[in-house]
Amino acid sequence: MSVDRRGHVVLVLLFALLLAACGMALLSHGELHVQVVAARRNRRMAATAREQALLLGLHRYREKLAAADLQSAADPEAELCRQDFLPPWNEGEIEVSLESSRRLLRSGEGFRVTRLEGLLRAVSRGGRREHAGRATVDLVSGDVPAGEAGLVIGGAAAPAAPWLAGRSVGYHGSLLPQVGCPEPAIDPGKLLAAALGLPLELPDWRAIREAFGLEPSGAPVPAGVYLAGDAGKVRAVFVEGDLQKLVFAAARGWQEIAFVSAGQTRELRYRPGEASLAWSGDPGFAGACFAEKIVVHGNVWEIRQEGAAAFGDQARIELVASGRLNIATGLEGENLQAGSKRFPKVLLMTCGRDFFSSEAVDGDVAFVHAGDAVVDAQVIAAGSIVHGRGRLDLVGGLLAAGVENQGEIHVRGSAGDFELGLQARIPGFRLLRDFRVHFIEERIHDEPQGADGL
Amino acid sequence: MIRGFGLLEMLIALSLGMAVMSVIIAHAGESGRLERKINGNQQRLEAIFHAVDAIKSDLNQCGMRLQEARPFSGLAPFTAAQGAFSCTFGLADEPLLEGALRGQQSLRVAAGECFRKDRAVLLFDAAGGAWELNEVQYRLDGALVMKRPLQSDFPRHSAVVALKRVEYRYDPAKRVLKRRSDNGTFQPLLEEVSDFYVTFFPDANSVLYRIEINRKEQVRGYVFLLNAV
Repeated sequence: MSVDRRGHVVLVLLFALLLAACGMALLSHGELHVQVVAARRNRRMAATAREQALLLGLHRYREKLAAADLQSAADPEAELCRQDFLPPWNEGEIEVSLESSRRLLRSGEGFRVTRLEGLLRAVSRGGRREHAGRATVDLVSGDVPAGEAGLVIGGAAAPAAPWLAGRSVGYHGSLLPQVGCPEPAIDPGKLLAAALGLPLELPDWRAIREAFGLEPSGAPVPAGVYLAGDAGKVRAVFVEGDLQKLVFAAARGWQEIAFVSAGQTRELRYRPGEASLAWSGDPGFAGACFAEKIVVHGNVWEIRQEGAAAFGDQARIELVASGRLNIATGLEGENLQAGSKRFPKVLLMTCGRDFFSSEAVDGDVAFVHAGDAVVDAQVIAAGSIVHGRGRLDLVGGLLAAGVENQGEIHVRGSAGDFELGLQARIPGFRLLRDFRVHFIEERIHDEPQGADGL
Repeated sequence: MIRGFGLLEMLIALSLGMAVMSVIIAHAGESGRLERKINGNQQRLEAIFHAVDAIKSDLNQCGMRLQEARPFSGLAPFTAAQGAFSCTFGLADEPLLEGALRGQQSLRVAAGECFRKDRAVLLFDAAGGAWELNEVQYRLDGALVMKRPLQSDFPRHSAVVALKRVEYRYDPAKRVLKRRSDNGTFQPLLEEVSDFYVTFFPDANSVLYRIEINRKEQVRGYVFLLNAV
């Protein structure tokens, strides 16, 4: 018996071909899908890697700036902008490079501010996309006003980061702290004249008496609290002798300051920027405008806040003492909205020398609060900053001759706008301030900024 | 010689074939339903990924190029409300090539494509603390003409920033999360959203968002606002 099986063989072959085609289609579909998923994943991973490389680059740039020897450089502006300041480097398949430029922001009054701009790019080798970030930092050089300092400590030069860490001083990332600077040049007479608004270089008791409307004489004024000015404007409050207590309070737009001296309390109340002054002492100043300056010829043994806030939102108080300042509580501004940036509302400045005799006195600024405290102040201390236990958050900048700290100090270094900060100068000094990252973005290599987001 | 199948063989083959075919057809229907379900899930997942990518990308850019102006202008790059949030950032920035005076409407700026008509711009002088918001009326070669006269003087090198604002809003009635850019209309970004919220942590400078889809899947993300530090 013979069987013709040719037809069956053809059918089987056709069936096998069909199965193979279906299998191949499924496989290629699967392969394509896997490739699409892999490409998407790779793109995300590459973007993440570029972003990380860029962040590392920004960190390196900041560290390099912080470590730069500004004081011995012949032309620090040029040196910080040189191409080899931070040469290009590779992070695996990613090349990171820096383009630097500079421009003069401000010049005059014995110092200049130059802005250094660094554009960092992280580019994948052979890729079209890049991550770019721009950082700027301001270089202040010349006779630098103390008010420009973010975090500067006097004495011998030392690497700032370990020195500060060893004393439990933390700081905001925008600050590039410096340890080691010449003693600030403060002319006590000039400072007093500027604070009292007197058109004199070296004020004497006669001029002071005239400013307070007292009988003319060369004798010192009796201990007490005096207002310098007239019915239209009070330029400053002058305290002769030590002040036992200085109390700040603010509510509903009114700023209140109480002075306790020799067992007597004087109260001052005003709306910042408005002709609204009320004074519990001598008459003749009601309704005047107050220039928010307080000058103490002596020490202030206790500065404290009363109530929910020490300072109104508009307040900018400048407190200058020839001697020591003791801050007993936190001193917080009224604007306490979550997330809003805090600015220093008060300048706490010590001269370290007697205004008239120029004799050296204790110029420390001491924080003796219990627990943790936030102080919305900028501190310029002729002596050291002294801090006990607990945590202190200092909102403004800090310039001090030394640090004596038993707790934690965190300096945020926000710039304050205080006139008297110009009266103390660090001669022939250079400092960097406000390291700021303006953007970090992903874009197509060599395309103009923002092209992706059009 | 056997030329074909016998009747018995045919019957057996047919019944076997029928049985196999019925099983295949039954499974094909089931796999069709499964495929549709899987495809639906896949599409929903893709939509979720797309929405999450958009949110992350916008949050990453939030505050970009506004760092310097924020302290004195009080501009808040991130704002959040019940079921909604918005991000503002600078697309591009250029310095003024010449000082501009109060009342002036044209600015000397080497402005690129970003500074197109109707684009909101922020002008600020960091040293003087002056700032204002304006809009581009039209762009010339090397100059921008603003819609409104300037309210302040701006020295040379003051910054001109092309702004972009992105808003997200959850519509609980339609169960849709919507997004809009600048002054455009709200476009659906993700459907079948049963809950959406965002929380801003100012101290950590971060945003936590949560999207719930069909009361089943939940997507949560914690995004650090890199450009708003």
